Amino acid sequence: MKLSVYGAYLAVLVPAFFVYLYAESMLRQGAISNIDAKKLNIETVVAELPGSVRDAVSYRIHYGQLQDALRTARTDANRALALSNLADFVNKPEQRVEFFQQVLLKYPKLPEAARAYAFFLNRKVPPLQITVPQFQRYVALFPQLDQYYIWTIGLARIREDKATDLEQFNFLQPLLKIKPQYRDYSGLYRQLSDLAARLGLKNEYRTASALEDTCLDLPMMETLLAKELEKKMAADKKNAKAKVPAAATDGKTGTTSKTAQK
Amino acid sequence: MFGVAELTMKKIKEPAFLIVFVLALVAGFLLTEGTPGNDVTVESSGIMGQLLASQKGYPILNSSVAAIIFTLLMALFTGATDIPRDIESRMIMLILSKPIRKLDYLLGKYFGLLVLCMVIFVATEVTVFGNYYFSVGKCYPLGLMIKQFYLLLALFPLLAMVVMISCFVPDISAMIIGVVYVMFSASMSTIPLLISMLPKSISGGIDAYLFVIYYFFPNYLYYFQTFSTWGLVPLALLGYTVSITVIFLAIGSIRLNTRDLI
Repeated sequence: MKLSVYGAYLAVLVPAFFVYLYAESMLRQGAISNIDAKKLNIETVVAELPGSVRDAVSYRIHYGQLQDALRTARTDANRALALSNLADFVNKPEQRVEFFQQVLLKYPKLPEAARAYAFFLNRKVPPLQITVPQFQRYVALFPQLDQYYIWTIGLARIREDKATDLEQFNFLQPLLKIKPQYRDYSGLYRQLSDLAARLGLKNEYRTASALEDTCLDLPMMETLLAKELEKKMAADKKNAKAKVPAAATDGKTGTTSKTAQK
Repeated sequence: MFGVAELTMKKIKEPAFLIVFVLALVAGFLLTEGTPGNDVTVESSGIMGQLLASQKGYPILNSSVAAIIFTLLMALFTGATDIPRDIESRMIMLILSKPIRKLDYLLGKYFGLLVLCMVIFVATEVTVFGNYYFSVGKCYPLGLMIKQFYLLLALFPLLAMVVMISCFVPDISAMIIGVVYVMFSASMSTIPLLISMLPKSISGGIDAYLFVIYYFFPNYLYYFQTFSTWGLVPLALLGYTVSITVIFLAIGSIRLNTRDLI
């Protein structure tokens, strides 16, 4: 075959390849955007795999999703949360220790480190141990809205180790010195009063019972959060409505104002 | 080229063609959707279901899927055997002794077979539309009818692929390789969707390699997805079809020009 014939074939093949790649990428985007993420996602695909490999594949994919979340986390709070999620998910104990250790070392003053504090609370195995006073100092850093969850997971943790009534009481004791702001705390005060009753601590029992009663007149955290969310959504809606006419006006005049850009 | 195409089209009188033709008509008649006892139902679970059950545009009818399967089977078997038999029987030497270039011979064969296969598809579709009209008393919407003919686009690359393979190997081998290639294409077609669903930390390392392999196989899934009858996606599909067809035929033509035909 002559060189010119090869040249002619190349002249046909090269543009055809470009058209192929371009058209394929357009079709791929179309096909992917057609998929309803609620109906078809990686979980639904994994669910169709044979049982023998499903768990391993599912574990690997979920692990990958958590790693993606860690990689895309922009704030310290998000990174601490992503690391804690990874630590909770992994099935190797040494990996869990490593992730929680990272959280404690990098973000010790964030509420998102709570699970790491709870994990190392009274832990007898190296490399780290968080003592009860250290945990209590950590809890005191945050507003009561965040404290409730931290107290709960801390208490659950020491109960895992079959803590005695006195240890549990000592753990929750700082609650007697604060004025509760939410009804959710009533459960914790009930536990405190029960523990005090069992330990024969009359004054502490009376204080805990009184605080429990106080809690019953307070709002639930959930209600307050829902109200705040409603307010925020309404404000966002208002802002969005305000932006539309501004953008329309800019479009008509063909100019882009600095305010609209902002 | 037209002489070769005309010669190829004479296969229409062969009993094998007539059997496939009749079977396709019967399948079309039995599978006509919308007739009493045969409703249009599109399964929306799984990857295929999600592509077929999109809310955009008219769906591909089951009867049309049956029609295209018969048509593609016809293309696979006739496309794989025609050129190798011409070479084996020395008919090709007789044809090429006329003032016909090898490229014209290849294109003549391709278009002749294309018309033969189209006859099956069009006749089946006419049966489906006619059956619906006589059963229900009205026609399918025009857009739906046009949409079914988009499936014919799948025939172009498939036939070109089989014709290309038949330029390299004898007829039986071409058939086997053709079938294997189509099966590989079908399995590869879900790769972009799976990659888009996988977490980046998993797909990040392997997606480039997978895409390199993926680009060697036409994605026939694109022809079956639901999309608007007019717009960018049909245009991309047309570009995709033409480019792959040109690539396959050009490779086939290069082979025919360089191989020893005696």
